[in-house]
Amino acid sequence: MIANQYGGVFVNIRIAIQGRTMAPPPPELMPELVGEILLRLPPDEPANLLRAALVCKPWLRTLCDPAFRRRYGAFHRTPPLLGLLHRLMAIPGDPTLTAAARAPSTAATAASSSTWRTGAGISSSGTRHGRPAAPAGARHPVVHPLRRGVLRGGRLRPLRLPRRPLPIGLHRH
Amino acid sequence: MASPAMVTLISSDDARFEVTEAAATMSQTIRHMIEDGCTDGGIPLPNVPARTLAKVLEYCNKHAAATAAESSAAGGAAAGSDSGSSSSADSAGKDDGVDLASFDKAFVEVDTDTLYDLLLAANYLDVKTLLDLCCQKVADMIRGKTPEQIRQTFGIKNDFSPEEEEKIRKENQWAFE
Repeated sequence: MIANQYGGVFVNIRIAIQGRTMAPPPPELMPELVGEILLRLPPDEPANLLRAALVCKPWLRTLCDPAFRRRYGAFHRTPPLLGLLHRLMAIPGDPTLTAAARAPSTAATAASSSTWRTGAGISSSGTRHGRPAAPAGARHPVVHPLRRGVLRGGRLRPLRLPRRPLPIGLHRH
Repeated sequence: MASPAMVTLISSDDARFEVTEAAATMSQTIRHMIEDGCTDGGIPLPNVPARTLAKVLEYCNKHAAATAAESSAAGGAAAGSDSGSSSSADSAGKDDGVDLASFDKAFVEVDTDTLYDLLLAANYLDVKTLLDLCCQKVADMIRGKTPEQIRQTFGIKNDFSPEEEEKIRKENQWAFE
């Protein structure tokens, strides 16, 4: 009797859930198809790649695969990300971004002249395609996600990082 | 080609489809089967149900007809009327590039389940342009969505632990706003 009551509740919950979601989830995609799809995410907004990496571990693994990153670069003919400003190395304290730089959007921030400021008072000359552009001769190291190194003074240097992980594991070894 | 060669395709649920060889061989999988002489009694496609196969063939018919019209237009003044496809009635005198682009766009305006079925079928049948089209459509659907919205749309289970997710979110807050 009690079991029936609970059973009824569970059935109702299931019906309610089904009613809300409208359809059962589609079948899981094969890893190679996930790669084909993620390959086609546009490179102009790196946030798309980052959000996709956060969907589930298989997607994160796909995006972190060096072979995928090579294909992505070749497919779009440009690297998806110019670099990551690594605050652990360069900038003590939390970076504070202006609204335009915090919400990267090609239309909104392309060639805009908004300043990008950090807690340490380092500023850039604006943003390009949603990415902060450093003034010429800037000294903050930028971690290049496609080649394991640090861009400094326009040249790629070997990457030496503290043992703490990079955001979302884009640095896979 | 005076009369187009026809082949019969058999879906996983035993529905039979008769199509031109030009349309069928847009699928590399089917092309190889034809080359290997496996066409007697129809070509079985055990991974593709009739509903999906019909949709894939609609795509192949349209594109094969456009290719035929293009090559006949390039070859001389002859009208491109030998394609035999029901969807090629409006091929004469049109800008096929624009026509095909709008056809493709409308073709993938389907629900997520159908899109998944098309994606799997295009992959199995190895129809490269259709696979490209479907992958691009899914990528467009992912674009601008939060991880949670992406999971909901595609029925993906979140296998990050709450701690992992929280840590990553904190470190990359800009991407989630």
